[in-house]
Amino acid sequence: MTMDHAHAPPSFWSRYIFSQDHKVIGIQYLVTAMVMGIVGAGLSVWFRVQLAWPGTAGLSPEQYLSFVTMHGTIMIFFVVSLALSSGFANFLVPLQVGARDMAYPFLNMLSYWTVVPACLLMLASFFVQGGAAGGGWTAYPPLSVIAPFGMTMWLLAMALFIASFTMSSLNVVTTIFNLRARGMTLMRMPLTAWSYLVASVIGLLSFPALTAAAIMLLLDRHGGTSFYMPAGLVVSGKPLSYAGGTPLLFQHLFWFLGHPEVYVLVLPAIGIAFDVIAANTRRPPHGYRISVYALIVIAVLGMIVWGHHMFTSGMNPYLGKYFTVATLTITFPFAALGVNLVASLWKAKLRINTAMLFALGLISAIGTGGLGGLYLGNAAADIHFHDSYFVVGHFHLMIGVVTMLGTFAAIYHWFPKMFGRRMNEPLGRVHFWGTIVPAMLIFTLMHFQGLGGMMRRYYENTQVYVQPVQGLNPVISILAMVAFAAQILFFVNFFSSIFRGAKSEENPWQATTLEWSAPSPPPHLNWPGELPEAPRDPYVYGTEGETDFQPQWAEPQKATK
Amino acid sequence: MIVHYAAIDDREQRQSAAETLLFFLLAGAAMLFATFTAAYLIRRAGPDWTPVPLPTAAFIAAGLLVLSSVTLHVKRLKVTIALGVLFAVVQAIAFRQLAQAGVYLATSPHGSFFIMLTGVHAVHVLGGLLALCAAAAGRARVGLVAAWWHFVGGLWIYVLFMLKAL
Repeated sequence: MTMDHAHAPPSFWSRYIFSQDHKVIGIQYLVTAMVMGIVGAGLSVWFRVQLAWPGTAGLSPEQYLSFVTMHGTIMIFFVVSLALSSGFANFLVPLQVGARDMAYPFLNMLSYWTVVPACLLMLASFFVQGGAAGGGWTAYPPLSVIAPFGMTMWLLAMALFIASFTMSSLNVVTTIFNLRARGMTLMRMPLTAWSYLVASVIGLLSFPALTAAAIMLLLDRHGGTSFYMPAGLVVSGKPLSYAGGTPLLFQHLFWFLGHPEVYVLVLPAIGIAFDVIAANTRRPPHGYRISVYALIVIAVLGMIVWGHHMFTSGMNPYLGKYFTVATLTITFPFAALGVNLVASLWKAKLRINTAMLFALGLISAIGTGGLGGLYLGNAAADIHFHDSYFVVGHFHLMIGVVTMLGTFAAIYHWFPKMFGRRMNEPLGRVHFWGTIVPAMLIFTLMHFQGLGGMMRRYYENTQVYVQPVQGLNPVISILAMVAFAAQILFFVNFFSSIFRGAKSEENPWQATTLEWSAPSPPPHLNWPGELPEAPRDPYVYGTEGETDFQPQWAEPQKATK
Repeated sequence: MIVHYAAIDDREQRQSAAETLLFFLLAGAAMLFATFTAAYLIRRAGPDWTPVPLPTAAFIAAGLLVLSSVTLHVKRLKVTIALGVLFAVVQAIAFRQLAQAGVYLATSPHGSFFIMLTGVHAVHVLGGLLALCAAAAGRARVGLVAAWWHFVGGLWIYVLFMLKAL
């Protein structure tokens, strides 16, 4: 086959809207996630007003629950998944492994244009009778079966999202397994590419469980079946005709996806941190092989520990014991990643820029967030903490803060590759401090509220025993507003830098991985001439000649010289 | 408006990419039905579980899929497609047989599973039929499409076994 398809697609539409170019699609995902992020984060600021100053936010209890539900759903699936998993996977994977594009560009375009209606459907559900889904992002039956129509829209939007995510993940695995440049063995891939490979595989294996769960939930809602619905339910004085189902079944199926989903989101953030740190410490990340193995072990273990979300749902104590042991076993590979991140900094000369700041913040958030996990993974402790703000603080640190810091690190680091310009550095630093200080405070304080007995998803915590920690609510809400305001700086910086940022050369950070050998921004099909090769490992630093780094695409010098 | 282009120039690469794609599609479909199996085993322990007689058409349909796998093996694509379409028709007859026996979607959990699994399986058959048509038009590799088709056939026998014996 000849290269006559190498010309850039001609029209505006096929170039920027219905594009099959992985870089454009990646940026489309990113911008979509940013728009959804305003909604998702805005919802949280809104309902935080209710928590801090009850009655002043203009929210009914039903609206409050629906805001909480939609905040969770949007942030997890339509912000972090879109930006970090689908967005940066699209942009980075072909560039890092040395491919001209994803293996299936048309499928790739389809995946983006499947998620757009999913977003619209999710947003539209606010405006139907009964409002948006309000049963929590976990959508447990029986509530989710008897809930108003917004729940059906939620399920259909999720179905579209799953379809989109599956297409995107299929592209990542096929591209990585088949389209790597010459010399790019699996063990020469940058850790970011590795983390996307692992995340995509667990996504592909765990999302079918949610698909099955959602099909049965839809049938229970609209087909009159009783997969999940037990007998004897009475709603608003009316007995329901369901019989024999078990709501616990849904919880198992949901968490069979729900827990691996955490790793789908967190692992790429860690992979990105390794790459950003390597470029800014001028050293290879510590323990490359151990990190790769740790990613794989986490993926395997992550698939078989879902029960720790259900310790209080009713479970055979022996099963609880198993889930406790398996969950705490993840500590080992996770600690290996954490230690490798920290060890990468050991005695290194740090070059501090915005991306590096976010990567350093990420290490801190993993440590703080992981600490809470030790308590929650243990059945004995979790029975006390369950459904309290301790849980809210913990999971926000992991799938909220770690992933967002990773996403921001990635944006600041790869922005020059995306647009050929740099983002504004002082503005970026203000954005960093304006994000991490409130974020860490908010979620650490929530741990203490949880210890004090404050429960999540309550419209108002009026119990006498939560009075001592009640006073933290206005503090947390004000911090949330500060964090939200800091994101405005990011938006301004992002969009103005696209047009006015300082011009950037090919490799502004003197990094070693393959994407930096392409022009900034890379043309259609990524490299103007021949594809690069990868004759050496991804992170080779140290003086050999004039520079302190040896890019992966450069031929190693002969030892005889 | 939509420009079709391939990211892969190398024929061998394109073939191995298709194999990877198929592998993960199969893995995903297997996980989907594994989940349904788990749900079935849990649900059948419920207090209201009463098995319904499975329609005979469903077993005839299984025979049709086995036959279609044989015809595909000897590279008779058009016959295979015809058998696949016939399978869908016979499955529709199975639904009718169930309805005549008074079993609808919400009548009995066992019947709910039969109807739901038939439907989900039919979607996979439909995908297989489209792939077969693509193969007949020379736009997909017969070997890969055959792997999917045999999987879908085996899947139906597995589903029937589960519904009948478990």
